[in-house]
Amino acid sequence: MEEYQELLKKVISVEHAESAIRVGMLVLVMLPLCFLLANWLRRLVTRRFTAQQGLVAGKFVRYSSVIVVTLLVFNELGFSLAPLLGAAGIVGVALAFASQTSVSNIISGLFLIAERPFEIGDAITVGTTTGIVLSIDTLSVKLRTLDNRFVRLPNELILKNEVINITRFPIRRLDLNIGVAYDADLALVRKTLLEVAEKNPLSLMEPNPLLLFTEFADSSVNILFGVWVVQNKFVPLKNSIIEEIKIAFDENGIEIPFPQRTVWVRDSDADQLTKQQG
Amino acid sequence: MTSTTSIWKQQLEFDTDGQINFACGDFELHCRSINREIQIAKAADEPEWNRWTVRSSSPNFSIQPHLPELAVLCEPESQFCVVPGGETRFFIEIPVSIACIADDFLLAEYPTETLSHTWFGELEKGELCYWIRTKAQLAPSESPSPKLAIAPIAVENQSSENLEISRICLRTSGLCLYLKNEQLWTSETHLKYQGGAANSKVKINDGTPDEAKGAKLIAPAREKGASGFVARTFRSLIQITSSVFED
Repeated sequence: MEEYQELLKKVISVEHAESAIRVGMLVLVMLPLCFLLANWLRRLVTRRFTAQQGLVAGKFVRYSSVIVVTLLVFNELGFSLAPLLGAAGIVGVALAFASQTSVSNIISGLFLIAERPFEIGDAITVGTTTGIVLSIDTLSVKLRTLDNRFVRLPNELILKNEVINITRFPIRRLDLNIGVAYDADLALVRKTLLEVAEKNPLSLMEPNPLLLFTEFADSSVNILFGVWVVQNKFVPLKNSIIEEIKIAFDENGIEIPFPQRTVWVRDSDADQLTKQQG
Repeated sequence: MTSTTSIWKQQLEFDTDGQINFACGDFELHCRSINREIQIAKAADEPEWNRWTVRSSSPNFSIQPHLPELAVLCEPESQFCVVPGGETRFFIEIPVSIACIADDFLLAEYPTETLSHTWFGELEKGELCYWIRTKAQLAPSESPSPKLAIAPIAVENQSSENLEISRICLRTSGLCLYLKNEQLWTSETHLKYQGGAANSKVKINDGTPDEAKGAKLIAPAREKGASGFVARTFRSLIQITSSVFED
C-alpha cells in the first residue's frame, strides 16, 4: 500500500496537477467561450451584413479557436510544437495528394465566398438543378429544390459550371413565345397583347413590355412577348397572363395555330386507292 | 335590415342584424359582427368573407381611408416642362385604401381600386410603386369620386435648365390625409429642383393644403417624421436626388 502511495505521489506531482488544471480550463472553459464568441459574432454579422457573411465569420472563429486550443493543449502536455508542425506539414502534403477533390472543393468554396455569386436564401440554377440556397459550406452548397428535395452540390462543380442567380435582382422579365396565324392582323395582335399586359395588375407598367415579331415559322408568325414582374409574383403572373392572352385572342378572333401539313395525293395514286377500296 | 354608410365616421355601429354596408363611390364593403367575430367581404356575387376573432362581442369598429402603402408613380397624360425660375402647382388624384379597425387594431386594408404596379429606378435596384395616369390639373377637380384623395404638388425649378416631367414618384408614406366636406386631401408636397448635378429638396408641408383650410386630420402619415426625405422623385431627363429639407 505504501509503495502504491509513493508511486502515486511521483505520478501526480504538483507540476502535473497544475498542467492538468490548465488543460481542463482550456478544454472546458476556453473552448466553450470561443464557441459562444463564434455564435455571437455570427449573429452580429448576420444582423449587420448577410447570413452568409455571418456563417463565414462564425466558422472562422470556431475553427481558429479549435486549432489554437489544440496547440495550447499539446504544449501543456509537453509536446514540442516545432516537430509537431513539421510532421503536420508532411502529413498535410500527403493528405492533400490523397484528397485532391476535397481540397479542390475547399478552395472553390473560398472563391465562392469571396466572389459571392449568390447568398443564402437566393434561388439559383446550376445545370439542371434549381433551388433555394440553404447554406454555403466548406465543401458544398446545399439547396432546397422547388419540390422540396435536398440537394448537395460540391463547390468545385459550382465553380466550373454556369450558375444562374434567379433572385439577385428585384424584378425579372417573363418571356412568352406566342405564334399567331398568318391571316391575323399583326397590329391588332400587338394592341391586344399590350392591353393584356396593361390590365394585369401583376405585370409592371415600366419597364415597358417587350414585343418582338421573331420569325415567319412553318405555321405561324412567332412573337416574343416579355412582361416585367417582381420576383415573388413571377408564377402568379405566368399563370394569369397566359389565360388572359388566350381569352383576349379569342375575343378578337386571333387564331393561335397548331402545326398543319397539307398532303396532295397524285391522280394515279388516287385511282389505285379507289380500286383497292372498291 | 341594413344601414348604408357613405361617409367617413370615427366609429360605426353595427345595425340590429349586426351588419354594416359601407359604400365609397363604386366600392362597397360588407361587414358583419357575429358573436366575437368580425367578418368583412368586398361586394361581389359570391363574397369571400375574411374573419377576425376580436376581444369583445361589441368592438369599437371604424373604417378609415388610408393612402396606398406603396409610393405612387404618376404619369402625366401630357408631358410638361417647368422653365428655369418657373413654379407650378398641380393636383393628382390618388385612390385610397379602406382600413377596417376594431378596438384600435387594424384588421385589413382594401384598395378601392386595383392599381397596376410599376418599377421606379434601375433594373438592379429600384422601388416598387403603384401606377397612376394623371391629368396633373392646375386646379382640383370640382367633384371627384369620394374614393380619391387630392394631392397638391408644388414644383419650383431653381436651376438654369428646363425641368421636363414625365414621371413623378410621390411617396405617400409621409403624407397625412385630411377630410373637408366629404372630400379627401393629402398634405402638400413641395419640390425644389436645383439642377441635374445639385441636390434638390423635397418637403411635405405640415397641415392642410390651402384649398382645404380647416380640414380634419383623418389619417396621419404612415411614417412619422417623413416630412423631409432623401429620394428620387422625377423621372425624365432629370433625376432629383433629394436632400433632407429643414423648415
